[in-house]
Amino acid sequence: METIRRASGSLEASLGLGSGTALALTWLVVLLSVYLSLQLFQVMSGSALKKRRSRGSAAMILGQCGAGKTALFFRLRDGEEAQTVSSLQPLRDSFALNAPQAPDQKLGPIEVLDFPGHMRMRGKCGDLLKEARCIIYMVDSEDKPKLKDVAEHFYELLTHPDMLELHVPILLACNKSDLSSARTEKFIVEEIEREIEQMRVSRGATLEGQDQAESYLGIDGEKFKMAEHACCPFQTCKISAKKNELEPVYDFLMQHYT
Amino acid sequence: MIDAFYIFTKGGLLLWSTQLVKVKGNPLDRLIKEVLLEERVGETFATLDSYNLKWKLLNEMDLFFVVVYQGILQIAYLEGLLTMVAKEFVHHLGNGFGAGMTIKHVEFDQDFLRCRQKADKELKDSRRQGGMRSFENTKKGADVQKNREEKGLPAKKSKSGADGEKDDEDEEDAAAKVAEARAKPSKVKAKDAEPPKPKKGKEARHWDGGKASKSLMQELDFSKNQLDEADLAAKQAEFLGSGDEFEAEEVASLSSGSDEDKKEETGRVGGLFKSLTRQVKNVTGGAVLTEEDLEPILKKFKTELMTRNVAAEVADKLSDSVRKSLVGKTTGRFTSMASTVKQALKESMETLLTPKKSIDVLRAALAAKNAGRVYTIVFLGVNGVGKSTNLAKVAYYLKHKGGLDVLICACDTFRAGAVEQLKTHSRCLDVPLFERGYGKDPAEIAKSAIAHARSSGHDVVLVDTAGRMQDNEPLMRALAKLVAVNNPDLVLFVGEALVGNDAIDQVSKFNRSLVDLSADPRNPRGIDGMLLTKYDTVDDKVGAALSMVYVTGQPVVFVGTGQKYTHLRKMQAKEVAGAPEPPEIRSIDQIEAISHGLRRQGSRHFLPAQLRHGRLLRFAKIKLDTSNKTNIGKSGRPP
Repeated sequence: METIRRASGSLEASLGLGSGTALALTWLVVLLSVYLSLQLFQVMSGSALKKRRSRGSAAMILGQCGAGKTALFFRLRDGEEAQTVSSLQPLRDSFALNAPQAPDQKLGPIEVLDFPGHMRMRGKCGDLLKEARCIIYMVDSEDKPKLKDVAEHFYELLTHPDMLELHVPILLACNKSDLSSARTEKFIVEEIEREIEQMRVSRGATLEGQDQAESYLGIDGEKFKMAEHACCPFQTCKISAKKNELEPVYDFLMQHYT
Repeated sequence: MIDAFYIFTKGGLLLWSTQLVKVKGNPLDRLIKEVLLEERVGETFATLDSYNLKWKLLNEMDLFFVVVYQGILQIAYLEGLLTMVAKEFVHHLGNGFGAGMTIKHVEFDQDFLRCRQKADKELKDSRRQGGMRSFENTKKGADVQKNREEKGLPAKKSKSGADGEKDDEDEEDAAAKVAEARAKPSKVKAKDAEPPKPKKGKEARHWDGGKASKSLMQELDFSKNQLDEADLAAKQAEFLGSGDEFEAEEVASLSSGSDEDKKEETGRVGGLFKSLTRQVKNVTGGAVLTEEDLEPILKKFKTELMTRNVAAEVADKLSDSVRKSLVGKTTGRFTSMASTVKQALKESMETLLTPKKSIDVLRAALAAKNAGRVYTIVFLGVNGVGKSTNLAKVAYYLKHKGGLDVLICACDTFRAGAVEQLKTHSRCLDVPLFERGYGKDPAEIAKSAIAHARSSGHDVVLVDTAGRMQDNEPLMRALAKLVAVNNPDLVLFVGEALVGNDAIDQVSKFNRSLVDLSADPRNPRGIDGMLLTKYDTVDDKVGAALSMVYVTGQPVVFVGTGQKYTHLRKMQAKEVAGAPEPPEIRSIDQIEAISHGLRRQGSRHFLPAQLRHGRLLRFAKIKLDTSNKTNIGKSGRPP
């Protein structure tokens, strides 16, 4: 205050203005400079953040409707079997994990995010990718027709700009492996690869004037291999949320949170 | 009556459920996928799998309560039950609910049983009372009673007043006579005004062989049943009143009026404070949204949607759905209510426009080719929307991008020049055309075209049909036959992006005709997707797309954006749902397309969005003016 009054006094003297005008003018200058410096700070911090962009902190559970995402979520959190229906909105919670195979080792509070699998919601999961540290992709091992949708989702995921930048590791968890009609991991991965191969012909042929040409997956003329051509670390495993056979998931989480 | 009851969270955890009767199929899953996820929360009940479902959404806790029943039940009963269970359940959870998902298994059976019994009892009571309400129960009855009580005191006073003047007595006598003369009506009134008495039930009257004993006659003679003096005085005071009383009453009413004023004032002060806090919260966030807050905001957004060419019905339902999903929610930090609503609306529009199934036609066609099948697409729509043009675009896309062998089939055997138009396209695209001239049965032509494609090794057959208005039943029947006979892989409805309210009429009637007249009633075949044409001519991209998608639940597969074969795009849900784009007008053709659309649709389907847009029309005028001038300059004669 005192400095401002003094400055306005000097302004008054030097320019021969009225005291009121001088004071107002001084205040104006002070406020303007504060505003400008704030703006500058924002721009600076923005660019700095962009440079050091890193993965988020959440373990994201993705997959199709009925694959067992919500069931896994509650298994991880409460260790109990939960009755579930199709989710309408994402579920997120932070909790400590207790791996059954290593009871002494506690996994610090992890934020787990269960995203609904319905096709209508799918568009929104891309926005959350930057918050993910790793992705657990649930697949219903019994449901072969759904694998088409899974492949399509994978195509979208693997060509997503955030994914290409952050390389979020994916664990393909083939759920419901306790069922007798469950397919093997190998079968599921090959099926997905085959579908993606077909898809890259149609996706690669973008329509004229399309705003964002989707990137081509894999190498042209070569068979698409998930483990080789995906932009991120890719693992597969066999689990059963119902029978609580979740060791690979715990291992995967251990790997990324310790 | 009730088959099942479910309580679940939005996050997908089934907290509690009961099946009183074994439920066949999975109506709950269908409810979630086909109603709740399709932004139809605003509706009140759904019929799925021969079950009726009614639900209640508690936004504060993100809880859904769903009751499944068969047959007809009173809505009031169901609503009562849902509200009661919701209240009881929230009470049951207490504070342990926290983040909305800490409960694993809830013991709620007893409470539910209690709720149900209570609701049943209420239903029974309401049925018993079903006929007429007794007068005392009505509002008027209550008023009368209140009046009586108020006036009772002064009336008695006037009687007990020791003066006992003659004038008064005379008056009383006269009044008594009047009262006698009007015995009946006054009696009725008197009855009305009487305090509630337990009704003496009706007794059966005995008719002993038509003869009536004297006592019985006396009993039956109600005319002598006179009011006694005291009663009469009371009545008189009540119905006639004295001057004093009137004054007193007036004073009383005045004072009560001022009382009310006072109350109102305090209310207003409280209201002012309240609204002030609300205003502050509106800025800082953290306000709990109520119906009253949302009403004006949603009204504004609804009008905005309608000016963006969304059909009125759809705008209505969408804003209803948004309202239902927001009431009880708390706004985020530093977000105003308006921006919260806007965000919710944008998100629900985006969700709607996101296709719920694969719209990759090329991939499906390639898969069919690998499986050794012929992939068939049928294009249908009203006249002049651009079916043939966009069929040619799709043919170009499949041929050049997918390397597929395409066959075009001309099933427009009605409009003059239709086949020739396709012939031109087929020459330009170097794609074979299958035609059998005019006047033949289109279903048969399509069938032989598919057979021809199979034998000669074509991969894809694109079937062009004649344009028809949705109300023309014989033509719709013919179309349904074409679809039923050939069972195409994809039935594409071609619609203009220009239409507003008519969009839902067109697409729903086409869909219904196909479903109603389909060959297999158990597995009806409707429209599989939409192709929006003249998409480049509208600046509010969302209108027709949103309306059509909402009505059919099917995705927009392609949008046509120009006159060239390459002008075919896929719709980006995010872009479209966002802010309206500035108009881009590139050529006079686009304006012609618009004016053509206007002319064709006539005054009934007025296009507010296009006409309102002064910029567009101004542009059109300038363009037309300049073109006229050049005409004059060149030919040297007036146009």
